[in-house]
Amino acid sequence: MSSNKSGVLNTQEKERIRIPLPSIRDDETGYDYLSKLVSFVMSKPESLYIFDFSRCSTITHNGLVVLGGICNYLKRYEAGVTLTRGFGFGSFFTPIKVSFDISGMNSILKERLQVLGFWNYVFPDHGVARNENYIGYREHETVLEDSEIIAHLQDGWLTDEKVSLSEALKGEIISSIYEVFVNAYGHGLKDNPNHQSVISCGYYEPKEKSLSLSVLDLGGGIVNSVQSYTSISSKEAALKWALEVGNSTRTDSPPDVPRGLGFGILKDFIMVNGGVLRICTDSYMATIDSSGRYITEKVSGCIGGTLVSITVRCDDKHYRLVSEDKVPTGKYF
Amino acid sequence: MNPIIVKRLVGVNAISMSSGRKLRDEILREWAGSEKVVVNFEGVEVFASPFFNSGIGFLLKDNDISQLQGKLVFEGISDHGLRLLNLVIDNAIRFYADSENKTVAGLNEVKKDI
Repeated sequence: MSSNKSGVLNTQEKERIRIPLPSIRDDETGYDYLSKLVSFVMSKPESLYIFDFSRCSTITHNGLVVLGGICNYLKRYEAGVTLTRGFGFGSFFTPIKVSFDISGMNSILKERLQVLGFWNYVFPDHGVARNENYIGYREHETVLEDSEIIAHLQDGWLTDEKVSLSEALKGEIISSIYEVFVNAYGHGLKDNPNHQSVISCGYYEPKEKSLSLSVLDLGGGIVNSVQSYTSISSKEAALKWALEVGNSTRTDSPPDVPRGLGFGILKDFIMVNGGVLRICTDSYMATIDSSGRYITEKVSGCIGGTLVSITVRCDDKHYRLVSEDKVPTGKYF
Repeated sequence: MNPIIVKRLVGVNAISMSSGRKLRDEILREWAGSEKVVVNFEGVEVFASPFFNSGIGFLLKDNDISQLQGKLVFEGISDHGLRLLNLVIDNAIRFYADSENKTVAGLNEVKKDI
């Protein structure tokens, strides 16, 4: 991020930092860049930011939740500072904390961000989604009622007009996505010192028949939670511990109720579905290989939270694999 | 003995811990006075692990798996729901075995008997 400092200007004692965003894809390079972006912004929350889209030809779900999450973080930071300093005369002249230069943005991306509802939350002046039930970008300030999450998925995302699926596969996809949200609410909204939102962005790609979803919370992250809960000092080991079936930091449940299945269920489903799962937290990213093992690798920056991204193949051909029940477990009933 | 109709209890989504708690309370109400407790899932469309953790897995805190198998009968449950139920039970057995310093050998013994 240091190369971006060429655009730094001083305005009312605050740096104005212009960040030329590159194209951001759902791949290793994309996640690595996003981790650096979060690190950089969180190290300078007092600055003013302009995100410049002139070099960005595309930005996928993971990029949108991180960009939206950063904006959410900066706005909450600024609100906290204003509350501390009071609403004096000077606050009327506070420059805009986060803005976007979209003058060089290509028309396809411009339309896509509007349709996805990205600007609805982040910068409504750039055009909001007209359809309230759009599939796309959302910020969740409170824990949604379970029925609300499911209704949104069933009635907004996976309707018969948009996605052709058997009811059985639809139920399994909804169940997996619900596990992602439950994890994010547990780590992201409960006990989050910054009172930040959980951010989600998802969409269906008709050509690939795939559904992609990213859910971000900036509530400290899994590694942080595990290290507070256990005596594990290595960050990589802490992430691996969290991904093992049965391990849970119990952020959202009584201590005597068994938990720790969310990531295991997701992993099993994604593995047999032939999809993609990425979990990026702190300075590590975990993915699964073709045999269902987690591969962890270091990223260049640090996400002070947890980003879970999945791509699910919405194709009943793959559902038969799930039904064959290749996932080893005891059969008690 | 009337079956517990899960749809009537929690609706078509059996997903949350609080819904699972409702099922558990209902099972425990029937537990002592009935030879079998029948849990009917007809019409339930979506399942998730928090529901089963709270509704069924928690019962293994005070009962072993053979007691559950002897008492509970599940009807009308989807393949996905049943797979999730078994996964939750597997995890709950390990969870309570560890907290009471039992060994995983107990789990393996249970599996042999099934």
